[in-house]
Amino acid sequence: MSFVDQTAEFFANLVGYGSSPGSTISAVLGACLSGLTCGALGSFIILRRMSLFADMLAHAALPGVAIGFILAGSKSTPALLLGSLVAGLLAAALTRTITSYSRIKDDASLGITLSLFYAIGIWLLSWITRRGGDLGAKASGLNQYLFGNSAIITTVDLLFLASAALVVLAVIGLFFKEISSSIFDPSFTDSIGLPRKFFENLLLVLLTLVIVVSLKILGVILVAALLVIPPATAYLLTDKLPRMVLLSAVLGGLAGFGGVYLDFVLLLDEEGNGVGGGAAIVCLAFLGLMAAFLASPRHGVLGRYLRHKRLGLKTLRENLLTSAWRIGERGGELAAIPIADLASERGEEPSATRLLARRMNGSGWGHLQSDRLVLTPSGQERARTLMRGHRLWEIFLQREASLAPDHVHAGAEEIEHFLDAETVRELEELLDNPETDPHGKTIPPGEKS
Amino acid sequence: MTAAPIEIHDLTVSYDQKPVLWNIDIEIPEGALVGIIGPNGAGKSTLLKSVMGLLDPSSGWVKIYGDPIERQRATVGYIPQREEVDWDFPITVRDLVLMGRYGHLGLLRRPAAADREIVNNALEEVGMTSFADRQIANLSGGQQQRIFLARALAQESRVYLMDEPFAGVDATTEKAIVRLLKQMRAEKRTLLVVHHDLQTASEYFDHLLLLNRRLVAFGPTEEVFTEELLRKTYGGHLTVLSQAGEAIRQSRDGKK
Amino acid sequence: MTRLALELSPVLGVAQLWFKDFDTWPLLMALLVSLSCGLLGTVFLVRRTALLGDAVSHSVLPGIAGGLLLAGIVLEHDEESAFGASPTMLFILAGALVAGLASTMLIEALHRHSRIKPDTALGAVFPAFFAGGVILIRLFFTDTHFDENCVFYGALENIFDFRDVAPTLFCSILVVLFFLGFYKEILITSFDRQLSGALGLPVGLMNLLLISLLALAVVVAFEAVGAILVIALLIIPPATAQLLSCRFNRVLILSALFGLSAAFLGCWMTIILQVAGFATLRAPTIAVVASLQFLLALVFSPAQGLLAQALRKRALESRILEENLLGSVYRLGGTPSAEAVTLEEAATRLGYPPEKLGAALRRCRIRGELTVGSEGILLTTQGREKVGGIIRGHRLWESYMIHEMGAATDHVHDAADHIEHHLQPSLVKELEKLLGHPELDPHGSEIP
Repeated sequence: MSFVDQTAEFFANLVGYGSSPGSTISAVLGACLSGLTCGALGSFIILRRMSLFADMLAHAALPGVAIGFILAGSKSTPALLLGSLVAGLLAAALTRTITSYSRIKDDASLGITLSLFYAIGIWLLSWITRRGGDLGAKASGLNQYLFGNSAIITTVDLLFLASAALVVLAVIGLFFKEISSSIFDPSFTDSIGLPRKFFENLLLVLLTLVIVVSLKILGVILVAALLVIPPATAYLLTDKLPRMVLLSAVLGGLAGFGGVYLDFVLLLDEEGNGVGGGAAIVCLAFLGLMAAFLASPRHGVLGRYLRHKRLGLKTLRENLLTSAWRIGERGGELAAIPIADLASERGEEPSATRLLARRMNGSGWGHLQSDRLVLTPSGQERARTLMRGHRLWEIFLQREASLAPDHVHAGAEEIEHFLDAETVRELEELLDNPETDPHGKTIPPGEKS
Repeated sequence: MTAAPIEIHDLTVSYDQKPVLWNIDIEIPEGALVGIIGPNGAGKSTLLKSVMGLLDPSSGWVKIYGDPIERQRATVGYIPQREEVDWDFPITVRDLVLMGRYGHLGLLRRPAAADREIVNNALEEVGMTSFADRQIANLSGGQQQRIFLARALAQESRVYLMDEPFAGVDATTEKAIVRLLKQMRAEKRTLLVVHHDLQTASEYFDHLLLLNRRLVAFGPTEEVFTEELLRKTYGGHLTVLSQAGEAIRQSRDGKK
Repeated sequence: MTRLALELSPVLGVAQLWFKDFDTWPLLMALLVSLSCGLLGTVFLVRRTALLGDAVSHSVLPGIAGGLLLAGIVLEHDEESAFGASPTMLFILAGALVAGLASTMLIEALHRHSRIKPDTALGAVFPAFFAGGVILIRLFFTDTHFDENCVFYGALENIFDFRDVAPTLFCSILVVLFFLGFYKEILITSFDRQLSGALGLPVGLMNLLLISLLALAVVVAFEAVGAILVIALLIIPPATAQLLSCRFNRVLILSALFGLSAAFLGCWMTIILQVAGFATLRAPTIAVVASLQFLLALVFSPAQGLLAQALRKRALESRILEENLLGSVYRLGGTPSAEAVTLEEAATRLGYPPEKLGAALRRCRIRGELTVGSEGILLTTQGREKVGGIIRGHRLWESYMIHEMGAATDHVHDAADHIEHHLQPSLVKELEKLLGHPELDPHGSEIP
């Protein structure tokens, strides 16, 4: 079936028609719930620098799944969930014990616990599947817990997922300020008497819970990613914590939805079974992270690059303005300066100056016309302000920084672009409103003159 | 007789099995503006943290107005050293100052209009109102210090412990902080401030606590700021304390 | 004789196993993998980037898949075993290198050019790469080239001849040569980046080489222990080694040894378990053995172990009890010229129940510091000397506190009580000097 047909089939399933409405709806619901919960809680996890701890917990859940299966004799969801919960909490305790009682550091301790529990889990799984007999037969599909597979979500799983989601959202809603304070400033939180340790442990328990209910969909290896990637994306897009939590949840849910969709549409094998949601969900979420990394207006790489370029252009234009001013001082007509004069003032070829002058176009300060740099009134004003700042700074350097008069120019050249009105006023005050600069040039009067 | 704001009795604090504060014994009077001075490693921050109950003492105790610190949380405000915070955390200046009210709100309650009013006043006291809705990154050292002060003001405590509030701040901020401290003293609040600069210490504080792992002296500035006592604080026979501390650590730890 | 034979038969049975069923090629593979991982893992452990190994072992997956894909296109024929010494393997290695290096560079870029923290960057990138690998595999390799199980359980059971082992052997040789040749550089760049820079050592190049070797080691280990269990061999033996030694070269060697022993014992135990009816695989067993080694070291390490810590604590407590006993006997006058002291009196003075002092009393008696007669306890000359030293220290410390620390006279006794057990002779001498050899303590008692 073609891509379009598959898509149609997918949405048909969602609304109740199509060949497998039940499983599709369950898969979508499960993945969205999981993404939502992981996203919301994950915001606190990454701010608390617990991303790798989450990864460890996820791997550590595996033996719990195996033991739950062995004890219950079947793949009963409550048994497996309970097993993983206990395993996760034990792993957390072991990690803490190792760091408290030996010189092993945090990262290594996480790695040790992760490997140990994971190895035991794999060991048990391999024993179970090889064992044959009753148990062995029922065990097929336990492997799904490694990679995850949203296609095998049952109603019971959904119930647990929904309950976990409710619990997590309720806790976040009720204790938002306590949790964020504990993460942001632990010693302050202690000092005002809030039970910080309780909230840290609560966070840990919620984390284990969320991981455990999401295992079936995302698998042991990838579930932690959904606790990290959507929150990291949100982190790059907003500066307010409540928004970050909300955004992260939304992004997680979207990744869940998209992942199941992609699974359904693109990644089917011969029997029509999907890849299993985990991988597609994570890849989608990661693409979102990369997009934010590049394009986030405030924190993205592209944004910074563009800002940098814009600053460069502004500096270029302003340098032209100050050169124009100097010519104006010597008697030239400030409103329209021949390129040739500008070029000789700046010590460059007229062709180069012409290029620069062309870049003045669109700045509102002036433009190139009949081989002259024509300055608007605001352009002239800007030139005057720049010059003022420049010369005041030169005096400052000379008086306060004991710089020789012939050294002050270069420093002032650089800084003139960044002197705002308030700083200039402070300079005036500090230097007692001087009228000439170290070279004897007049300081253009300020606003109040 | 009402209890003193801060009473420290025979306090010894260890770090990693090794005592770093030895048998500290003082009583801070109400309304005192106390500067704690001493060389690096003297245990000044440790002392503050112990008073706050953030560190458990090996022996001795601390009482705030006659009660243990756990029962007097609302009475004491603590401003830690600035570096200990993640400046990329997605909160605004106002959010940070609002945290000062959390102790009074307790669990589950949300900040009310009155709380927000207190926050606004605190921000104005320190001159950071125009920054209120900015995220806390990209603030200068002085501005960072001011918002921590605002948070402390919002706590409306009677006793304040401050760990090097003047470190790395510009001259304007320094003046502003001193003015604020003196105003707080006028309001009968008790202030215990770790300070790093000897020169200004004698100007800013009316009491001085000379500390170098043990109490060298405590009292009104004129009495205590003497050459002899300062020499004892900054020079002094501390090899004994170091050796004893090391001996204790070794026998408890086994490591050489 | 028959009974002996019967009793020995299980042992013989196992020994038989050893020689008959014990496949040497899988063992060799396991040993080689443990060697590389043990050595490399130590470096990452001391650099506090232990989980970077975990990350790289996940992020090479798309590289492996990509390499296989490319090999399929370029070489135009199917390889039966993709992992032995074959041209396909070269593609796989190249792919893994690219993926490993790309993921570390991306992690670096993420946290350097945005406010994302390093651990978040790590936790975001490697699962994404792994997920990408999984998708590639599912899209293009739905047949047996890529048994999912292989990824997890490894397939040490499928190592049959030298050809299978060759790439791993090559990698291990490379790793060992690297450590032999660059030991100094590895040491310095791991412990002091700034010094390395100042010395002109190529810190960046070292990192590159380490990551590359790691990627290689991971890939060749793929077939042996599965990409995921590599992490166990990268972290656990080095951590075990770290619990036993403080010196880098020793930690390196111990780490390799523990890895090798885990491999050996793991393989051996697998066979035994299989015979006993527990069907299991070598790879997870090796990891479990390595973990057991770690837990044993955690408890029993002579310097750092939990047991050693507990014993030290107990020894200290006993010593304090004994010294307190001696001290209280002295103070109650238990010298031959005075009256004997009963245990109850001594205990009351100290505020303990008498039973608590029983063992201490016995030890002091054995050491010849106390004698117990019909009337009670007496100090021997030896005991008196010892007590004298302690009380001397106590009283000197009290004087020190009063003179040098401005402490109040009624505050000093308890503090001195605590510290008297820790004052060594050299320190006591120093106190004397400092205080000008006083004869009386603050309470007016004589200083012995």
